[in-house]
Amino acid sequence: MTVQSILGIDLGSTTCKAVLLDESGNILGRGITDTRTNYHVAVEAATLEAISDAKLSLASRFGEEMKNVGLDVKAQVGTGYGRQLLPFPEEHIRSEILCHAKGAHHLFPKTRTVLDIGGQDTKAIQMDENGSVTSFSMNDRCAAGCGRYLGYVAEELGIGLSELGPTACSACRYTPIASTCTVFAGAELRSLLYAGEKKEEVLLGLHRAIVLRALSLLARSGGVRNEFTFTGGVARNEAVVRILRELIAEHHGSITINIHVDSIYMGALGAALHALESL
Amino acid sequence: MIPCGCDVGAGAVKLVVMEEAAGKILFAHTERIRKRNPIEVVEACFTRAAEEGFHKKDFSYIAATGEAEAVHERTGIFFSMTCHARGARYFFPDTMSVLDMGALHMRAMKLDGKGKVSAYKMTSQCASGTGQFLENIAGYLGLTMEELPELSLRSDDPRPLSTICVVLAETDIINMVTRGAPLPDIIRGIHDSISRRAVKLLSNFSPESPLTLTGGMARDTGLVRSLEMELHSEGFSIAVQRHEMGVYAGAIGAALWGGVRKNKTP
Repeated sequence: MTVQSILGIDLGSTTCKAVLLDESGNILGRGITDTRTNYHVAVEAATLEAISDAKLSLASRFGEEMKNVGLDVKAQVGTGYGRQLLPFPEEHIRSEILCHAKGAHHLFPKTRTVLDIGGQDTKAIQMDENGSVTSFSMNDRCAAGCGRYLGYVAEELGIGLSELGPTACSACRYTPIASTCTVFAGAELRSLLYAGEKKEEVLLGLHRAIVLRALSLLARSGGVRNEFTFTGGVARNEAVVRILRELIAEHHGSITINIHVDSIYMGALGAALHALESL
Repeated sequence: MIPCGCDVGAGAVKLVVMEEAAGKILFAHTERIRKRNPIEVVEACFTRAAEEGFHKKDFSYIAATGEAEAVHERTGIFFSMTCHARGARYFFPDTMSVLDMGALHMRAMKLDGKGKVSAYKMTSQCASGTGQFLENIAGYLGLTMEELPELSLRSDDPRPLSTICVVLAETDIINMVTRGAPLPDIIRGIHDSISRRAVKLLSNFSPESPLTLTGGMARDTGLVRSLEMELHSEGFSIAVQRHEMGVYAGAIGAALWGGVRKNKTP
């Protein structure tokens, strides 16, 4: 027996994501892997993970024999930082802006503004009620305000990326960070710690700096409109989410903020939805 | 009179002891900070000096520059810009422009006939084009800073970087390596990128020849070649000179200024 499926690949600068959909647009499986050094292996690994994830979830829903089901990929679309390197024909490549907007609109149909903070770029996207992109702003020139900024900070402190958010959240106040540049912020972090500032408070300040950069990008793209969907790997960081909620409430009033558990797969989901539409 | 100059930079602490009357360097030591507390690193420099027979109590003046607060036993603090200008003139008395390339900042200075700083420009918002940038990249490539010049000089086909951001350039370089770009061409591309930033900085005033390079990056002959070519292609006819001890320019300048201040106060 074979199940028909649709594949979306988001080849990001830091991680490669794959999402498999069934023919009605439901997520069958997800895969994610480190992009570093080899794009082709990353795409393959993420795809294989999505396929086995799909088989496992099918098996848990419909019984053990589904583990051996064949998954036929009927259509596929690729997106992300490395999309031009994907071995896909030109018509199967979509921009990240379109894919993130598509994914966000699919999961939260009332979305008007999308903020995506990825490894090496930050995107602010505005769309109309049909999910069509009306404007966007993007920062891909400077690591300040991107996921890599937090990665650099984590390396500087010698802690894991996943510890950053919880550590920062344990602070009651934040230490303001003056530097914009990631490298300078790293140096500032060190001198603040030598000056006796608390690690948690400095970390909260660094997270706040990222959110402030994102808000200025949002302002340039057309503001924060209701509903607001936050996507990308950084949406998994609880400190960023907490500060973003506070600052949006403070500056933009009551806005529904959507963060999906699949936020990191948003681009891949959007790509798969584009593939589904092309059938 | 033996003044001591201590230049606390972002990447290293430089300490020199001078024989003031003869203008001679008696002792010079560099200690990399490497994520340590600068105060400890300064102490380590003084300990090294003491081992060579130069004790704190013997110094006629302890002049601090850079992150000068880290030098607890300082007699006085001196502004980095004037120290580098003084240090550059110490090496080359005909210096008219100075480019200091340090770990986190680049400073361009223009001097008047007396050696006073008449104009200057410094990088501020962004770390691209600094020593830290080069060191990070050498790290990704598994090279030491000492290996870079020779590789860069071998290239005549530099690979341009798509971004000036130090942090984002990492991915760019990983991609180049994956696609099989030769190492010398990658390094030359990075040297060219730093040189463009430096020349832009110098272009803020009309720099005069000769230009003296100071700071840790002045040691990199590959970078010096890129810089000379970039100056030439931007239409500047400027002679570039550098001294083996260029990294001590700030500390030497501080020591010399310290000597001057000491003589002024009874």
